[in-house]
Amino acid sequence: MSEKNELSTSKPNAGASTSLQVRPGVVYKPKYQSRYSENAWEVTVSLPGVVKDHLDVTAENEILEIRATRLLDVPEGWRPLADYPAEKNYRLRLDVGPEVDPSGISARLEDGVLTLELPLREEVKPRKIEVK
Amino acid sequence: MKMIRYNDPTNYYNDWDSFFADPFRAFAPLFTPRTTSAFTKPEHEVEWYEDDERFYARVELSGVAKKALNLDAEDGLVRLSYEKAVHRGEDSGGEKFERYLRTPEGTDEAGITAKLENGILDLTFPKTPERKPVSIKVS
Repeated sequence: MSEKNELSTSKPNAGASTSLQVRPGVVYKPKYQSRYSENAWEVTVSLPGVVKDHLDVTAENEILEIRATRLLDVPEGWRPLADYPAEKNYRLRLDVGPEVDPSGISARLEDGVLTLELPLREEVKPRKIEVK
Repeated sequence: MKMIRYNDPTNYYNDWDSFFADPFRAFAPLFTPRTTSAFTKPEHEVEWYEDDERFYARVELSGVAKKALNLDAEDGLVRLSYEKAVHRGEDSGGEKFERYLRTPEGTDEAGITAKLENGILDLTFPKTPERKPVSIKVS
């Protein structure tokens, strides 16, 4: 999974049946990394300040979509020294291809990093062939 | 063999004919409104705030555990040194990083405090008495 697999086009309301809609305004593409093993892909997405309630991960038609909103409470009395957005929206769409088993995808959010485990389908996993 | 010059269809600057036919098309990306771009790089990795007593810096620092982060303040700079997991292809492992933040003027370095939660580091810089606002009596 590399940069080129990523969809550069965006449909603002595609798959918007979930509770987290894309709000008007700037949407950031989060930084992400991927690595692979024999059995699975692992994608880590940097989402600083995002909590579980404001994170939405969907897999549909071989596209993995991550939408997140960072809503940080600014304590009372803090005066911003520049114009910062009250919320930060993140969106990432990854073309994971047919080899990933969508029912087995698992996600974990820790220290502002979302880790996705994308297991490969049995039929595409490497197998050892016995020589008779 | 006949040589045909290759025209890269994505590069308007190489294609003189189309450039003169529609000279402003080449600059269209500059005028595309920001809101229509779904993918923009994060702008504010550090946000600064203040109140009468302190300055606050809110730093995006995802993927860093509390125990993997070291902070020191010296000569007007706060050094953030941390270890973070990096994945590239089949390789993965911890990599060391360093970032610096300028300490705001008129603050007490010894009194800096920090809190790390969900990939956001909040730093607090107490202002020195000279820097705090003074209320002026009207006689």
